[in-house]
Amino acid sequence: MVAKKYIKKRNIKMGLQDSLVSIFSYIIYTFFAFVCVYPFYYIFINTLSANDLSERGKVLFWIKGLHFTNYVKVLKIPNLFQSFKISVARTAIGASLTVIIAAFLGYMFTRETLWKRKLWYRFVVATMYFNAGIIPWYITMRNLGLTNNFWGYIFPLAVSPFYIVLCKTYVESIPIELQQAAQIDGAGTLRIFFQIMLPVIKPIMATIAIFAAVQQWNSFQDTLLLVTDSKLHTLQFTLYQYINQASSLKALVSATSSTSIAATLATAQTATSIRMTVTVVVVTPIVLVYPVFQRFFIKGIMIGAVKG
Amino acid sequence: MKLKKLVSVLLLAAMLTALTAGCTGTTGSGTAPDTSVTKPSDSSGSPDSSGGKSYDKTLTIDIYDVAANYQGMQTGWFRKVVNDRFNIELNIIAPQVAGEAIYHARASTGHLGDIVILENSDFADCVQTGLIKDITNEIKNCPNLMDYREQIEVYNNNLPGNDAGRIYGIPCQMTNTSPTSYSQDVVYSSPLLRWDLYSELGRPDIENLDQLLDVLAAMKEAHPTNKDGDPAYPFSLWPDWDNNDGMMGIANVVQLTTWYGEKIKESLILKPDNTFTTVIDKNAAYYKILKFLNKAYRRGLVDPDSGTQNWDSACAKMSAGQVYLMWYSWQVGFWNTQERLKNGTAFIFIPVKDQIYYADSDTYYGSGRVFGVGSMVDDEKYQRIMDFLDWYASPEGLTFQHNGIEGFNYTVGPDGKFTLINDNALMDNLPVPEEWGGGGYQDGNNAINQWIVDAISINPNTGEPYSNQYWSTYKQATMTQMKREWAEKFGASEPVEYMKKNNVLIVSPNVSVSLPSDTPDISVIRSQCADTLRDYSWRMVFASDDAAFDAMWDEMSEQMNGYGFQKLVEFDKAKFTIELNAKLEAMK
Amino acid sequence: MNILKDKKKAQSYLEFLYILPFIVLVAVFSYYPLYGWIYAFFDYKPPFPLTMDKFVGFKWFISMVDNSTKVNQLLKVLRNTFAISGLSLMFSWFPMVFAIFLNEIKSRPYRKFVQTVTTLPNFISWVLVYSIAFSILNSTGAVNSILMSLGLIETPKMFLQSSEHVWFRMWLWLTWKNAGWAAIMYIAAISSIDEEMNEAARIDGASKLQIIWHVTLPSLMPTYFVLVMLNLANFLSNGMEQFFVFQNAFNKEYIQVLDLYVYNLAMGGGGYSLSVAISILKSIVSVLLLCLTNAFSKMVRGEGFL
Repeated sequence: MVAKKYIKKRNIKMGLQDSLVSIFSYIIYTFFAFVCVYPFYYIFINTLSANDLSERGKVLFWIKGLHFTNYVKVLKIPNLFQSFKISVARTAIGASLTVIIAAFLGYMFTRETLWKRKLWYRFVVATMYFNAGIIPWYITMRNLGLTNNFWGYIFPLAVSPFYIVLCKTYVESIPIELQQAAQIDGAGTLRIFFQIMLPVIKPIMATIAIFAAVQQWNSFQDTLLLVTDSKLHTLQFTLYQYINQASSLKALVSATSSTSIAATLATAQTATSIRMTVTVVVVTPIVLVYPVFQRFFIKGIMIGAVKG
Repeated sequence: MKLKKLVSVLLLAAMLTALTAGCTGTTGSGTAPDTSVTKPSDSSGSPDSSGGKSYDKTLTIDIYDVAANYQGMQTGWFRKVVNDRFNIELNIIAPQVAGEAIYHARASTGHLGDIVILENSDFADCVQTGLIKDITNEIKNCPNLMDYREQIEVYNNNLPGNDAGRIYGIPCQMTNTSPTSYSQDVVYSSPLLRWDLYSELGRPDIENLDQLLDVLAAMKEAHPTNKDGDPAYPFSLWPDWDNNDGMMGIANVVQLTTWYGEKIKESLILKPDNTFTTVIDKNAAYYKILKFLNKAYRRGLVDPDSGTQNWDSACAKMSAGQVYLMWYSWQVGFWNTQERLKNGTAFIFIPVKDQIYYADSDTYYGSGRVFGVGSMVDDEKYQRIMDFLDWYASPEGLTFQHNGIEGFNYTVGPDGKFTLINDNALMDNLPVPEEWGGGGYQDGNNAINQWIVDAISINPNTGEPYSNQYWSTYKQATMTQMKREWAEKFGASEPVEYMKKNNVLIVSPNVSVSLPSDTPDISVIRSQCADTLRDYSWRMVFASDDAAFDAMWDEMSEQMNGYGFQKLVEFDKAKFTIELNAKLEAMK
Repeated sequence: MNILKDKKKAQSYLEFLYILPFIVLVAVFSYYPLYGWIYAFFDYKPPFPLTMDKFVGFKWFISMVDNSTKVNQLLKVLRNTFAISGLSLMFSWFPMVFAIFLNEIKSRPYRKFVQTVTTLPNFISWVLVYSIAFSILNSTGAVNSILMSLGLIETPKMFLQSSEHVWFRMWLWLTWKNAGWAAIMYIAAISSIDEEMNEAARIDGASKLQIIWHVTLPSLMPTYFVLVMLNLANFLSNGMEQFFVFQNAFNKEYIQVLDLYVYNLAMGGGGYSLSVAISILKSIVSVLLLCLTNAFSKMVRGEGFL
């Protein structure tokens, strides 16, 4: 009798505690979400508002002076579509390759039987901490024939120590019985990887896929140095260049032309308006693709297989 | 299994996309990058080539160009103009876009580009290391370039290590005026005030900087906000242009020292009496102007956001009428419109009596950058490049570069003089007629962004400068009541005329000398001193009183000396004395 | 016996063969270019090639500390770097806790929404972040207007020029930008926790907090630990962009971290050799720290993470 009462009391107390935690969480996360969304909302309304008002910080909560010129101008950038295709290609190929390699190496580095396992693991991880400098990197790429070459975007980023570490840690958290069972059944190293491991490490692979994809999508430093052929420009590079040109155009115009900039301010491009428009253009595809990967974070993907 | 399938499908899709994007197509994989890709000729027949030469093969010319802010192939109307004549495509490599690193990277491989456009000092280095082709023999056959023979020879004879007097480079922006004349109507930096606000105060004579502050304070008091109700300030500054243009210090000060005839040359100041002092000399103009800004701040005349905003924000305020003092000659473009010029509410030069204005003369010998040909080009390319460069310096080529397309940007009158039409072509990217290549005017504009001959030079076909602001037709069209009133008050029709009349213009002759570039040691000292000067300067602008100001100045000087400022001064003195001596020679 | 041993050896070599192509990639792209470190021992100035007469030995290394002004400057820079890295380290649990409590939210759509939305700041470049910060925080911006109309302050507060709490502010910006993104890793890890364990705990009568403490946290520990250790080895690197956009003459003293200091130096052109020298030093320190933290981890957890 007493025990039941005690349990009930404890349950109520816990129920209360759980509700508090819930409420607290909702408040905090809503605040955090707001703080994260508002800047993006701000960017969005500013790209649709008159540029001079935007530059003076007057557009805070709603659109003022609606116009689409910013987007029209960006979409009219020559070579935009080609560079978009290149970016998509490098993101898809580069990220896929990075993910597979990270998963494979992450798995291989947990295999006790690997020859000099520790040595090679350290060999790979240490590369995160040093950097040889721009000149030798450029010369190396040149000697390998990777300048003005699409694969120059892929190969240097293919083996990424950070993702390998993530994978290895994840694999280590999977009960060893799984591998052992397969081994007893006579499966070789590779078979274990493809048939047993891959299905099970989906969450971490999805994570790495997103990270690697975003890394590829956003990178343009390599384009700056390696590529002079416009056909290989990436989206980020084309947009970065557009930003650069627009600022100097203003100076050029006011120096050489009698028309004043003052006359068409609402739609005249400023560096900030361009950056904002570019951000929206670059981020929207990511935000659209992201939910696809989110579903890999569903709870309970995990193995009941071991116990069974 | 499902994942494996997904992955392989993704890979497949990606590869297909890559193939259709044409990336495995034309660019070579596995071979060392080729700088000239010869494609089968696709241009129509024989173009308007000069001299009856036939250009069968289309060549792609790589131009390594420090002046360009666009990296990629030239497109649009300018591309057509060049392609029709020479059957070449221009591929521009722009360190302004790709970053300094690309210079390091490409120079270390021995090939910057087929054509290179560099700063003087870097060019001299490249000549010494064999990256630049000797063009002495070919250039003799280029009539338009030979018009500037004197300047070219002077430049090349000054290159270190060039005792044989070979020709390597062609200076940029040469003029056919003279090395001691000043042909423009306005100087680069002078006090510019709004005519209506100035007239409201009764057009007082301004004797010195303190009186200028009084006038500005009165303007602010009468008009504390613009018409939208936003606060207006005489001064709205910006930090993002600091330490540029070969001058140490914050941009908003270094551009104003020329109001007292003192020109900053890196760490030195060149005084009107042709002696040097350092930029941290308390008796020199940097200190004076910085104090001026601080006094303005203490009187509440400086926009409080000046230290943290960027140029674009400042520009926006200028265009919104929130700024009452300007100084760059081109800055007025952000407020002055034809409308405002007619109404008299535009900015114009207002002299301050104790000032003498420094101006660099016409860039007769060049503006400090040089065109050259890469040493690794083959003979066929070499010939084509020289023809192209010759055209680039010809009146026909220059008219395209500075004025655009006949019938679209200007019309030719019966007297041969030009009249401007479609003057918003650049700004509004007006569509160009198909026969000229189509596309927008802005998109197709010359991306090289540097000229062999400056716009102030006289066009032999019209007798007037190439620059449209100096055409007689333009001047007639833009005469306004405001200009008449100004001419009445100050006794001259243009600011420079006033300055010459009153003997307050110092014209520094243009010379062609080769100055040594920084050694790695010096460049580190320079960078540390420049940062110190810049950071302290900003804090001094916002100093609360004179004592604080001077204390910071002394602290700053001490720190700079700690970084090796004296060594830097010695190096710069040796360097700029060479230039000074050449100028003194020219003035004899 | 021998045959077994041979078979084992054969397998170990075979497995090495599987990873060999990738080892080669790493060697080519990361180790081979290290010959470039030689530039730090010369007076290198492009386009002049590297010749023996430009050899200067350790000059650049010494030049960083050859007089008291420079030493002071370097010490200040290091102090800033340590402060900011230290703050990051102290709060490194933040993304993990973020992920854990996010997971506790019952409503799936809301959870997905919050998760997606909190990753947005990661995509806004620092340059743009500063533009937005400037718009909102300048003297006539939203924050100042609101504060003044509420009567809390009389003159506008210059947020961006302030030299107060610089490190804390930078940490706030970094967290805002990164937390949601970093949390993804932990969310993935949480989703793989065996549901049965949670069930068992609930049956035993554990509250939410207790489940978190006894089930969730321990499962996340390996990931968290590895990440902390890796970041420790990166103690000297804070990245450059964030500090570059927020720096101005007024907060320079507190905001200049090592990466920014190197960038400012090297931007003077010709500072290439110096920047390589500093890069070498940073690498040595990082690798040392890596070994130290590995040894520490061996001591504390009984096994290294390398």
